Amino acid sequence: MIRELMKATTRRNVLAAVIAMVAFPAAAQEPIKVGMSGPFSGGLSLLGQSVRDGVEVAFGEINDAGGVNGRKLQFIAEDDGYEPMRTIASARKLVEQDKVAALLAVTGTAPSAALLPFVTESKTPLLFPYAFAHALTTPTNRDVFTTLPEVRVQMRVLANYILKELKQTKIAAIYQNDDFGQDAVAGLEERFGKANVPLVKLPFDRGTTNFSGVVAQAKAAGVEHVVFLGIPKDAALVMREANNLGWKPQFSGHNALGDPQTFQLAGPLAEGAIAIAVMEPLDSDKPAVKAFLAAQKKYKPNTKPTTYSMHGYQSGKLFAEIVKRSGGKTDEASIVAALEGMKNYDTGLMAPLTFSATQHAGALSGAIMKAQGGKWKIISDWLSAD
Amino acid sequence: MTVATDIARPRRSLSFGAGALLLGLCFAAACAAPFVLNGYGLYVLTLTGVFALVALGLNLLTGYAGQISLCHAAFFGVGAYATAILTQKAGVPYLLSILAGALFTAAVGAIVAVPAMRLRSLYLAIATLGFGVVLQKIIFEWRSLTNGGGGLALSPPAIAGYELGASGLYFLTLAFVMLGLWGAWNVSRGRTGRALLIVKESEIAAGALGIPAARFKVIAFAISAFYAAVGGGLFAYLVRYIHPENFSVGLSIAFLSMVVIGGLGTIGGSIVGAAFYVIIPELLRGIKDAPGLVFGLLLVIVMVLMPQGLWGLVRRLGRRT
Repeated sequence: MIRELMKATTRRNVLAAVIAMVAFPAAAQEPIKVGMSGPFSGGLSLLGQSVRDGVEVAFGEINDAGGVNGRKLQFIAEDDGYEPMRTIASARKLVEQDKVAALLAVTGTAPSAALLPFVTESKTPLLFPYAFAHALTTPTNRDVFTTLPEVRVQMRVLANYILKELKQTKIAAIYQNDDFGQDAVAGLEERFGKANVPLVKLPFDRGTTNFSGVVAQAKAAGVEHVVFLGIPKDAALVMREANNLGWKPQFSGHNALGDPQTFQLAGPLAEGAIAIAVMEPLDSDKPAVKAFLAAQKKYKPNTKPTTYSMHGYQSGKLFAEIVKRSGGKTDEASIVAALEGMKNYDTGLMAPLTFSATQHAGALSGAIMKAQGGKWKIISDWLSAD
Repeated sequence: MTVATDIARPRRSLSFGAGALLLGLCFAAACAAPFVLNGYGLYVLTLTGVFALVALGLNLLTGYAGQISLCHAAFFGVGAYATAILTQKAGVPYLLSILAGALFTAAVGAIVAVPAMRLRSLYLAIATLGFGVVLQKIIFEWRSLTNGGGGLALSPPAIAGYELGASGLYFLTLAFVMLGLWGAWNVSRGRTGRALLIVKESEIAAGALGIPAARFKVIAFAISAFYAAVGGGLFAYLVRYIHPENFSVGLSIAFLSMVVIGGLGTIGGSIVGAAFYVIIPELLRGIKDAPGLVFGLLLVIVMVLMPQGLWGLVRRLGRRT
């Protein structure tokens, strides 16, 4: 009797499941798998974990709203400790073993660059890495798309602003003498060269703590504007050194300068400095930023929102948008086509994004931020580099 | 059996027949691997082979001659860059480039050995640390040749016009590991190996026996750098993108750990150590947020429970059966 009853219930369950599968095909569909590799251990773990948290927040939000085209998004994040050889292992595991549709928000410039041969040959979309490398999008790689403007683009925006708005012509660049610094200076020279404005170039070695020489040289050259290209800690040292000499030039820098950290390090000396914003600041009044902060509080209450997690969040949202545009198809060709068709798409978190078959760097623009009252405030629209 | 005799007679633990059988089985498994594994597994296995080569070389220097080196990542990097530049810019065939790069790096290794002739233990470690930093910096600054911090992207490797795929590179690495094993075995059993062991125990005793300690140290450094550079040449084409920051002190310490975990002064230990170092973190991927912690603890456990390294354990098991 009991057995009969059980049989009946199981049969009914099976029947119910079959009906569900027929009636709501979406519910039974497989989730869309997306992979990421980043440093979750080691010195840069804060960066990697932040980006990952951001993507998880976005996916949590999207899945709670029913997923994309009825399919849930599944996120698999792998640790690489910021070592490129381990990034390759992560990526191969994600693509060959987990069968992810795309690699999203891979974190780190060298790790992302190391993936280029693999993603090209395996035809895996590498979407919106947290990286600023020139090589990712120049020349255009079929499977690589970025949102963050590389430092060369940022410097062209800054140079435009210096020439047109500030109308300053006595300019020096104090820059870290490495690949990053030289890339940035190349961007500045490109723009200043066109206006026949000379640039005083003062390199320093990464890791140095003595900036008295370069600052004295800049002062002696009669400079009114100093573009500083390095980490915020060194920027603070340069500002102190200038202050010691009783010299007050206009300071500016790339997106790293526009960090709250700069105020902690330089104090009131940072006031009035300008920096390039690549995304909205966290204390912005824009509704998209508020929505992001609320979402992170809801889905990851134990984590702190950062600009890194904002990038991860935006990447997650963008991925859902692409899948929506491709009609739910997640093969490489559909993803690439959907992205290349994206024109002037505004996430509300950064400059509008435009991709094309020949341009895979989505944003060739930045905004100007100014240090006012211990905060960074955006004081311009999103300005194009050209 | 007491601990003392255990240390005094480590070599007799595995009979020749059992050793040959084990080696044969491992070789057969290694040859079958590409037909069983996917690209990810093959990548991890090839990386293990590459690191095993470096560990084999470092073991001759540290395990046999007792010299600590913290610049092997730099030798590895010089080998990688030399091979990459020779093939991509000068159009030299791949195998020849590896050989030329390794010979060049061996010469660099011999130069490093000059201060090593006077220094020992911690002092030597610090001197080699400095040398590693200098070599890394040279790679970074010589932009015209190495493209500096932009890194060097490489096209797929080819031998005699035939493009090597993942399996091809794996078999090439396997061949080099077998050659490396054979070479290390010969060196360790021959006159050089015996001389190095005496140099490790006491340089004065070595001198009294008519063994020029300085010369053997230079030889050990050169051979060791040669191994590291061959590994580097394979590594460059395995990852196909090399960057100066790949070859930092952290990697040198990793190489040293491989040799110690595997078992100092044992050839099999170098292979086991490299495998442990590459494969265990991959297996720990499932543990969210804590793979580094678990791996660190495993390292401590291995060192506390197996002072002779993993190879010591393999031997003990081998003797029991």
